[in-house]
Amino acid sequence: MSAAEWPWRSLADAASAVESRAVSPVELTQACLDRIEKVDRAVHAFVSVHAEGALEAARVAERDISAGRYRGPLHGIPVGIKDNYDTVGVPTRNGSQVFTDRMPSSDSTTWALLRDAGAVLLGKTVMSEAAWGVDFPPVRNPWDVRRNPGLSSGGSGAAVAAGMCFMAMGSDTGGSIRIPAGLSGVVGLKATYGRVSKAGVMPHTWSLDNAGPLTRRVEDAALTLRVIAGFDPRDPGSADMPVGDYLASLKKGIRGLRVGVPSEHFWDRIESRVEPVVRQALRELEGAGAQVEEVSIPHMAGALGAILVTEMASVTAWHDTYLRQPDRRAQYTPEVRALMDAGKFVFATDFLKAQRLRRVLIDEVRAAFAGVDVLATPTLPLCGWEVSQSHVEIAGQPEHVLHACWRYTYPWNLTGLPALSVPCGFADGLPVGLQLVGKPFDEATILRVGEAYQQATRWHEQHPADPASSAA
Amino acid sequence: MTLPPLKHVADLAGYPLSEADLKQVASILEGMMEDIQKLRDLDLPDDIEPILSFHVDPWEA
Repeated sequence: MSAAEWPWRSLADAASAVESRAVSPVELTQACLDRIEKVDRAVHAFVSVHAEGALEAARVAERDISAGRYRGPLHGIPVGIKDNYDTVGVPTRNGSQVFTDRMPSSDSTTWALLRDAGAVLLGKTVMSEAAWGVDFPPVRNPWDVRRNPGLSSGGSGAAVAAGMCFMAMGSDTGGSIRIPAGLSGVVGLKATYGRVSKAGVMPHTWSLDNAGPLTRRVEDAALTLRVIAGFDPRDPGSADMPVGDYLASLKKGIRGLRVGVPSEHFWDRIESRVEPVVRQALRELEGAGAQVEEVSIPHMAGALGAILVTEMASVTAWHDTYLRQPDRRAQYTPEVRALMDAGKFVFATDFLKAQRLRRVLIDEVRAAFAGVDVLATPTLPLCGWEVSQSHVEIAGQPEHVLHACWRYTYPWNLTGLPALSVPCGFADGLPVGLQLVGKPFDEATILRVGEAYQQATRWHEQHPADPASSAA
Repeated sequence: MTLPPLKHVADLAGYPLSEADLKQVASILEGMMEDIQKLRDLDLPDDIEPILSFHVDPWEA
């Protein structure tokens, strides 16, 4: 295999080749750096690339592996990290001018775990300002560079989709791992809240934030989760729960497994080109042996207000220190500053009502899960929109893109359940995602369903044409 | 939403904002109000407590 082909292979394939020394970490890293050099001028997925540091880390990995000190599947694998993960020696800017000079003094727990597992940091991926707002950075969707690749982890999704790295870490408060996964045709995993430490990841909304990977295959997400999952005393939200072996059941198939499809909310106002693609994916799950049935979650449709007030109040509470400093305040873009100012007008009564509704939703979802093993929904009601659009029209109704794109993902932040987006086809040449939702701490089952789906359909083997050649 | 009442609320709350900032805030709040009103209108059982992240750990001796 030529070096240029490696960036399109899975992390699992690359790991096997590194372990058997069929390819070296330096070759993999150089292939990714070459790919970044070739296409990132059109995609803009990386806010910073650390070529020398990456090559040095790859050389160290190569020496260790040659000396018999192989650490596991992440050893020598080039990855990207979202710009809100603290990384010693590399600026962490949270996508904001406010933090331009911020140089972390300690690593985020998740990056420390990845680094200790031997991962090679290529660079930091672009995110929207403070993971908030709709004034997107200029990240472009590799499938069509005129279009948006998703919300705040858009750089991570685009980097993986364009073959610039084998895995990129994102963060997900209302869908920001799964949304770019859905729009960019890659896999995105938000584990159960508390499963993956968020210590050292700059906060957005304490009770909703999750750290997780974007990859090209489900197996790659499972490999990554095995490294990053676990209790962390640095994170007050961390869950002290046993971590499973996510690979053990991955390829066991889904014969007889029960898949629930919520009848409310998730099929409302969905683009007519998206719905048939996801319905076909459900039939393909049936074809793989699953039993698909409808379930009911009555209060889901009213939950948007709950996440709005939770996020608005929390983001503003964290940023208030900076908003009160005139020089820092001026460094926020007007759009994001206005969103944060608006958060000051969220009433405590509404905030607490939202937290009460979350308990009701959890009870309803638990009831819906009584007869099924996983839930399946579309990841989004729409495909990637053009970067200049602030509003889209779905089923005849105009809607702000922020509201439209997170309608199907935020329920699983409110309830804290694990959710996985897998590519399930295309609509007008743009990727569509299938979202799989599991019971608390049962990431293994959604990964198993996702893997079975990928084996049955192989959408994940498609990748976009060289974005540099299609740049508008 | 008119600005003078919002400005009054902002001043009372200790968040003095410029007129330009207030205009943007008013626009955002107007866009959210329908969904927040839906939340307010929900009739939840009295015994439902809010989910808040607060864990009391034993102190080390």
